[in-house]
Amino acid sequence: MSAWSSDVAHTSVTTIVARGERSLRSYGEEVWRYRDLLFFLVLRDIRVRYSQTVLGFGWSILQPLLQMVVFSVFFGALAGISSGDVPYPAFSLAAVVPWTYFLNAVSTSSLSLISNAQLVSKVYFPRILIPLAPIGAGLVDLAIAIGLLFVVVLAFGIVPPFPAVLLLPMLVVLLVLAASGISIWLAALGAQYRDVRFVTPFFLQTLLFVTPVIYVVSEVPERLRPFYSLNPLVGVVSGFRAAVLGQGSVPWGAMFASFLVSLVLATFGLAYFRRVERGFADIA
Amino acid sequence: MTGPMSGTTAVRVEGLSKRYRIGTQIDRDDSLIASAARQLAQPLRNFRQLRDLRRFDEGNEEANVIWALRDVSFKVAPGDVLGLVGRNGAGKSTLLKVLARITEPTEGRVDLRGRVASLLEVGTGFHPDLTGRENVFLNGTMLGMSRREVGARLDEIVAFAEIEKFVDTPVKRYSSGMYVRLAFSVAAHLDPDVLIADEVLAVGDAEFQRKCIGEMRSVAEGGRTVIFVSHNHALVRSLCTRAIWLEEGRLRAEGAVDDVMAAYAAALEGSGGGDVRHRTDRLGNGRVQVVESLVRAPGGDVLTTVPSGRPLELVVRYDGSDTSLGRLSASVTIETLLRERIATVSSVLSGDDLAGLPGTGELVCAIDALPLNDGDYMCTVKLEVDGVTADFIADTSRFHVDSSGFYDTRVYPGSAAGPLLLEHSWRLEG
Repeated sequence: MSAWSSDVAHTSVTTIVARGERSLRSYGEEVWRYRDLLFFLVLRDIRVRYSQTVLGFGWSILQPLLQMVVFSVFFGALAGISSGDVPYPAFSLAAVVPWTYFLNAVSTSSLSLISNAQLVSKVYFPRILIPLAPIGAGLVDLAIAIGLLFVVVLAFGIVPPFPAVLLLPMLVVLLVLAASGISIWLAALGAQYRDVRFVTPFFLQTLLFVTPVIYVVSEVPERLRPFYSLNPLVGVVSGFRAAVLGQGSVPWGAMFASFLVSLVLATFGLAYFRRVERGFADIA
Repeated sequence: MTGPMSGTTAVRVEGLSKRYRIGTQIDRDDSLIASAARQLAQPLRNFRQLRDLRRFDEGNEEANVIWALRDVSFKVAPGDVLGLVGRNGAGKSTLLKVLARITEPTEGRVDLRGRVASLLEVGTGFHPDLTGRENVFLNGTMLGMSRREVGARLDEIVAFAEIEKFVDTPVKRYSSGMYVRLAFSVAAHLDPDVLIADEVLAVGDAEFQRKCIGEMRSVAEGGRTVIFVSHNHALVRSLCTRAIWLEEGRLRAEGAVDDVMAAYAAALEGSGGGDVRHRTDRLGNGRVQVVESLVRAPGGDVLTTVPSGRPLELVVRYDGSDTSLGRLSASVTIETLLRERIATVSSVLSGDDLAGLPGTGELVCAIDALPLNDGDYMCTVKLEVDGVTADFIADTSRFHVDSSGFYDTRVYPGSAAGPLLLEHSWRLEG
């Protein structure tokens, strides 16, 4: 006899009502109860991502590496965009690594409720796990890409500055928070309005240009900086350059702004998600 | 009414209703200008329509709204096995989805005591690229188990499914039988207090079905509660203690299984419902009989309203007493309610060989794009064994066709255009 069926009189009662409001606490407890499912959804996404490819995880190296080459040739060499005191390839790779993670995580996550519509209409579990899984799964790629970043940077004769390099884990947390904050919105909106599928690529392309990936932050006029730093990736990317290349001082202000903006996006995104998730099965 | 549940109730449903919004009526224009203006305003209208999918203003026109469930109340005691019966579209699946928390009710309340597991589909979340072991963990945690609980039962699950040797093989290399056995096995080992299941037993070979039914029975004998939907009357009678009969979203009857099933079977006689097991107005030698026919989206839900121009499956469930059927051929004729024949699909015409079939099963006829105009249609099914009519039964199931999305122009052809819709284009010559 299993533990939960031994005493019927004391087992919990699940109540289902129309427009049932639940406390954030009970919602959180439920998500926590399903934490193992998040683990396996992440595992599924990791396993499936490179299935039937020749290079497999090689792509997590090749993707940022090719992007670095393209940026270095077109923006660094041909357009002559300044990379400050660092060779352009290392300069761009330090930004391409977090950017690639963000791009893949947000692209996959924003469509996740649509691509998992079968699950949504057939089984109950906290829906928030669906957009979170691709964000978790991308971390494997990110870890490999960060390894690549160190190899390239060292090859250019740059030694990552100590102790700034220790900021990397914190920057990864900021990056994950930023990806989550935006993805939760896009996924929830995308379940109802399929326009999101078309808007997301354009949005991400625009975001690339308002993030210091191909240029240095100092190119941005001083008076626009406060607005510019509202883009949560500005703090992350500048932070990566400071931590790995030692370029510029640690951008505490931009990182703090990134944290606040992502937190606000994630909080309101979660509230919106919770409001609309009860209808996902009806509109999937 | 909303007080705590008494100790002898496992599931209590009170005044449950569920409203869905269906396709919105399409406006028609009488001038080019009006048409152009409508095209320009289309995004706004689309937005309103999408937004309103889940929004219902009071006093709204009822035309676009259907009540899949209307004021349904019942109780289930622990240890009861409750069968849920009714015709296609009666609200059975919606009720299961509400009980399983997949969709939210519009009104009413449900209390479920203890741990609830729902099984609306076998192998939900199974991924073909993952191994059997990985899928067991993914599916098990999805159904509400912890990783540790799945791990503790893994050996049992794998043994029950009889796939010990293939546990580390990707499930895409499994035979469909192995796949289904593994998927059911995970669900069978959930050990819930309340198990909610859709006709999942209609899968797998006969021997495995027996095993599954045995498992369901032992769940109930362990003092736990099972609620399940089935079109298989014999199974409902043998497995269930109580039954509920839904019709058009309302509770038509509730009680001991034999009473409810007798009433339900009587009502099905001679009706246009999809379940024709109790129909006697048949022709043929009866070597094989049509049990049910229905119309569904490819591999998906049963449809009562079918969008024209879209793919469609006509499904015929059959039951033959002897297992060696010989060469079977099947045909379905689509007719209007006035008995005008519109078209016939047949395995002889398509050249599909249906030899060596099992004694019971499901024949599926896939139609690429249904070319029918708006209206109500019915199916007449004929099964032949070795060229001799075994079963012929008219008006086995009915469906409504919605043709508003057939043409890219979104112009509604109107029923005066005739029963068939043709893809076409116009050009000027000479």
